[in-house]
Amino acid sequence: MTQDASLPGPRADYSKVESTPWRTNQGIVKFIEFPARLPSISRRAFHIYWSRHHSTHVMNITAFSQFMRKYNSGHTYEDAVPGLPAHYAQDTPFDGAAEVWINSLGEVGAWLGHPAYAELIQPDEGRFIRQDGVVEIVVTKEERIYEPDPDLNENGLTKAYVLLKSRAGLDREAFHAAISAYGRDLAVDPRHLQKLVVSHRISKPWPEGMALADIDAVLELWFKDCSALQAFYAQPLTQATVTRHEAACCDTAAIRAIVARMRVVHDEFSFQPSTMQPLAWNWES
Amino acid sequence: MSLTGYSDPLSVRAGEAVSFMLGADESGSAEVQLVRLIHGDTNPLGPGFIEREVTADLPRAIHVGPQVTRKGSHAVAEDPRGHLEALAEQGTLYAFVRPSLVGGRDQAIAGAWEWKSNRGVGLFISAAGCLTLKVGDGVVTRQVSCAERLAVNVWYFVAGSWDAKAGTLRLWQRGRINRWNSLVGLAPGYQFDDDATHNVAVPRAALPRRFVVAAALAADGDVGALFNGKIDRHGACSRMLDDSQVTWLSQGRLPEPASLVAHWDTTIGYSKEGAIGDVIVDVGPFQLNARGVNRPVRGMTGWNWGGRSDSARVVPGEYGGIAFHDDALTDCKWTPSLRLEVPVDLPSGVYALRIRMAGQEDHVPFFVSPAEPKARIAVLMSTFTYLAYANERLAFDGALAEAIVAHTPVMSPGDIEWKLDQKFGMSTYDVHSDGSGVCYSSSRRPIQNLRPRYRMPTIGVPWALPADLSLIWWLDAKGYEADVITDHDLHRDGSVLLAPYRMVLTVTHPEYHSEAMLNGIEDYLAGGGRVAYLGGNGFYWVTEIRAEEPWCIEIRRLEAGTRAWQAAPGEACLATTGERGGLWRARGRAPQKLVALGFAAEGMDESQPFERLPDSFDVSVSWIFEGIGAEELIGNFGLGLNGASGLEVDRYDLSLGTPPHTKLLASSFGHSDGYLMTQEDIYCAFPGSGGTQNPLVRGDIAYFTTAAGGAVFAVGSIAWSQALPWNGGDNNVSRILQNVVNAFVKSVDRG
Repeated sequence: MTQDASLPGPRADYSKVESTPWRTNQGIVKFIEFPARLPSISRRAFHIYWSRHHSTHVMNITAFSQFMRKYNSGHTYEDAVPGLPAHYAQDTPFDGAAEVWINSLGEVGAWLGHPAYAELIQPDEGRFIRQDGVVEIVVTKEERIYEPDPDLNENGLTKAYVLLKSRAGLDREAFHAAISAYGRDLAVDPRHLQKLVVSHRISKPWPEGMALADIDAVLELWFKDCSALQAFYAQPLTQATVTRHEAACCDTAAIRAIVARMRVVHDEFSFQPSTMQPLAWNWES
Repeated sequence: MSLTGYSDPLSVRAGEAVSFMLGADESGSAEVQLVRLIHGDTNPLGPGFIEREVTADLPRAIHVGPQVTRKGSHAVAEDPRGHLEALAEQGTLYAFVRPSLVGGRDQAIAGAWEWKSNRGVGLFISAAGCLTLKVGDGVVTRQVSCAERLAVNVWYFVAGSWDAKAGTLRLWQRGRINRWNSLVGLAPGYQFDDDATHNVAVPRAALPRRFVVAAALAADGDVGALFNGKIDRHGACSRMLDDSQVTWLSQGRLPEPASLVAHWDTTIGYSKEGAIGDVIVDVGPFQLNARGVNRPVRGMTGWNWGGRSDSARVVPGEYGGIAFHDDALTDCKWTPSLRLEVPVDLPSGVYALRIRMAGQEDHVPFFVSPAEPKARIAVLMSTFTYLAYANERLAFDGALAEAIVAHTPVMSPGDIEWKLDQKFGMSTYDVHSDGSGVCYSSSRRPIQNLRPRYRMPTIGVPWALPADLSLIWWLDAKGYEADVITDHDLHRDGSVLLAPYRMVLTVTHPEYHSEAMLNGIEDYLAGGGRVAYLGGNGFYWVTEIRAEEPWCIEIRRLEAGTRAWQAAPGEACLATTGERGGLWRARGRAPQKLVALGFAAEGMDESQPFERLPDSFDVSVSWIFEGIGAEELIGNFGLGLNGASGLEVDRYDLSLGTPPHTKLLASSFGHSDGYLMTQEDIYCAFPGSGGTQNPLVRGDIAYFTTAAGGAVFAVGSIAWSQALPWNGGDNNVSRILQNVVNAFVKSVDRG
């Protein structure tokens, strides 16, 4: 008996940490979208609509939300966050990052191709997100490098998304292995860090019709707040690690960074509170 | 409050007459003055109480004195020809009865019994809770009682026979429980049945010329021995019965024709839709039809209800129950004190007769709609809602009211005095003395909270009319000419009433609507009308009135909705029309279909501002926000708990019928956990339904256009209009409403 492709498959086990996730497209994938707001609307209107209306709307459509095992929204700060390496470009058109964990790459197609997406989600996205090609999307395999508390409450934390491109001439395996090592080295002194993950873009061939951004990996770092981010990157060891690794494997001129305040919309992987989960929760947290 | 009164009707057209029924504890001369009400809320942060004296053809002073109010529903069959004399020597009274409150005092079930003088025959429940038969001639009273106390909310067949010649009184009490009709089922081995016989010199009954059900009347018209519970088919025959004949009657059969004096068949009179009035039909030889007083509740399940239907439309024979309440009041029947011929050229508006006497003052409000439409704008005053809340006692009797509003009530001496007196009946938010809900509310009685300065003690701010006057003030202050119309007008005239107007504004809480009212608004919109819905929890409860008795509304609160009580099984349908009560949403007419928004939550501890959402920047609607900053908080102030979004708030929901092209303009956020997601949205109870967690707890502002050039601007908040007077009317809530009104009254299409 074959299963309807439009339905989610068996639950993948998130607790298993893959050591070299970039080598396979199997298992849970993470869909990351960097949205940009419509030019006509205010910054606040964008963020409150996304967090209070759109994300809950998405999760309330059962047929659609059943694919989504975790949904985080990151909301950029109004101004560039000081303290990041100087070569990180923060002047992106993006106003945030939406992260959705899905059981398998196959289900990503079923998710985006679900009639509920076209009927109910896409029109709502058009209310506040640019639809003119500025938005970038990448599908990744997540490498959880530093995760001292699997139930970390991410709500309200500050998260840096460092968008990396491979240095020209480096093969895929070498790049992802190097980025993995980069992440591990950053976590050597985790005093200011809450969590560190590297998201590796999935390997080709990509599913038909899937156009992914020119982002080979996303380095993701969680901090208590912007001050902690600043303190982390002010450490000589961190600075040396950044310089050494990025020079070795990245196109340093193309590195972009987005710093955002986190909100957890839905999470089946931990016991942290979220918008959709019946745990102690407060919008202001 | 010793000086008070009511108008009748509550809503008149210019050119018609209105009567004022005024009363006071002590007689005296009262100064009367017609006033137009402009603003009510006395909050010092607003414009305060404002009235304008209006010259009218009224005396300066009139005599006002005590008036008699008689509470308690019952039914009376007048017998001018003395047919009941057939019961003088011997006879039997019988009834199916389901008492709901027994003990403490005598309650009359049925009889030709004159209270105080103790004349006639009557079946009673004694103060001890036992079935009792009384026979009296005004001098001697004989009675017999069963020993077995009647159980509450259980159907019985009861009968009492007397024979003066034989000197015998007999009683039969038979439980008539089935699996459905009573509080308990068949299994409990409770002793329901009982008999009693008393051999004694029985006087020849001196019969009054009326038969009364659920009460006893005195010769002076006073009413006593009021009954609580339901009474089904009942009657009288002119002979003493034996056990077998009683068993025959207890199966729902009639006495043999030769002895039948009267048999009131309470199942007769239902229309094909299931509606029924106050007349209880006597199928006996003399047709002594009875008429209900203070609206006994009909359309109720009877002794033989089989549980398979919830409507008298389907099985009228199982809907013979009539519920009576000792505290029901739908018409004070006071003597008119004053009559005003409303001049045909009197501007429409909210008016009151101001009465002053011995240092006391009261305002008796009434609404004047124009004889012919005069303005381009109409304000629809929620007279149905005013009646639903009339004389509510939530601060005193609402078990959870304090928890709902998240603070203790703020009571005035007047509130306490009113509660202690309890003279003028209750609201549809209250329950009768037996715990069943009040489904009727009437304007033919003084209504404490239908007063311009009234502040609802539960929440500490004005509610309904006094809150709505903030919109009246705003229209006046901004120089808009607007006709005042009412729910009663809309119910009567439908969309014809609205058609002449460019736009219609609602007030703060248009919660109660009839089908005719919903149709009127929907048809008006479909025809190009423009509506500014400026309320919270609007278009919520199915509500009806009888065309010939517009002063009294009926509702039935059912299994869903934020409700003060719940109708008993099988009693979902309004007696007024036969239609199913409850929420309009449950009948396929969610408020979102009409005005894009529907009830989301209520809370009475704070209000919040609105914030603009992406749609508000769309060029098709950005005119609404002219003069408003992109990130400006809208209404972070107001007389309704310091915010424009609060008290009761409504939300956009495509799945409930919000038109798909609706622009979601703004929302309020950050509500407290005093604001809880409305119950009809909760299928499984879950933690996190409060405002600090639940994304559905919010107020929204929305806008959509209709096919014929009409439009709806909807603000889902009671507190919105209470923010209009802030800072003398110079504020961003006022600015937005001005933008909308200015656009709506223009003839060009917007949006």
